[in-house]
Amino acid sequence: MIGIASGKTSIDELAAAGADVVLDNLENLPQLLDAIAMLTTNDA
Amino acid sequence: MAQRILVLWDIDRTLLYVGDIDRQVYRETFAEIVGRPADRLPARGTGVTMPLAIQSLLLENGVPELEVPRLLPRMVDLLPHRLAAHAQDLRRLGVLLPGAASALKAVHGQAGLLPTVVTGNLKPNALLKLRAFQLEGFLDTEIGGTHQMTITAPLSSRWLRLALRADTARPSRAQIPSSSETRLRTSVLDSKAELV
Repeated sequence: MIGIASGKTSIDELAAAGADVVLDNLENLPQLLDAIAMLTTNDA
Repeated sequence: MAQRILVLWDIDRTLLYVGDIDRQVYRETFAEIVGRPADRLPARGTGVTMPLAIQSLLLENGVPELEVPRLLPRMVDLLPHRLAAHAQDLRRLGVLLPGAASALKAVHGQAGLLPTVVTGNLKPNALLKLRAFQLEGFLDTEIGGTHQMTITAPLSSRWLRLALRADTARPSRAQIPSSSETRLRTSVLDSKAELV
């Protein structure tokens, strides 16, 4: 589960809620794709 | 068929933000169905599914519990029509969150990934929001999880399994990583996280 921080929910809150990876936003595409790749590899 | 992995995108506050429009739609729908204005509206950004929010809306505004089963389906039917009437407002007042369109496009273009949605929105409302920001084309909206009439845990793994089974051209349950069930269930029960 990847959490995207927003003005309402902080990175810490998302991590505490159980996100495997937390990103500041969706603007860093390599970071997002790396996170998806990492999680899907872990699932395999 | 090659294995593809579902990437489940939440909509509100992950991809876009529609401000007060949802609450306005609740107001209008309640007034039309119940015949008086609602004094109390659902809180913003709680992650509560729409049917649950409607149930609370009715009860917290003095509608007798016995009336809820009769009124709730009528509200579920009417909500998408009221939101559709605000399509221009969605485009004018709503906000596409930074990087959302590029991120969706990038994931959509990745071989082996199948992007779809998991959201507390009713399906027609989810589609209206996605269309307002031209995001629909990057997601397979025929699968994934949206809410209609079910009040409790509608996005369970069983629901997803049934949704996927409906189209044999799409991945079978066996091709979804087993941990997806847990992840999906967690995402639904967690009322705070904005989730991809």
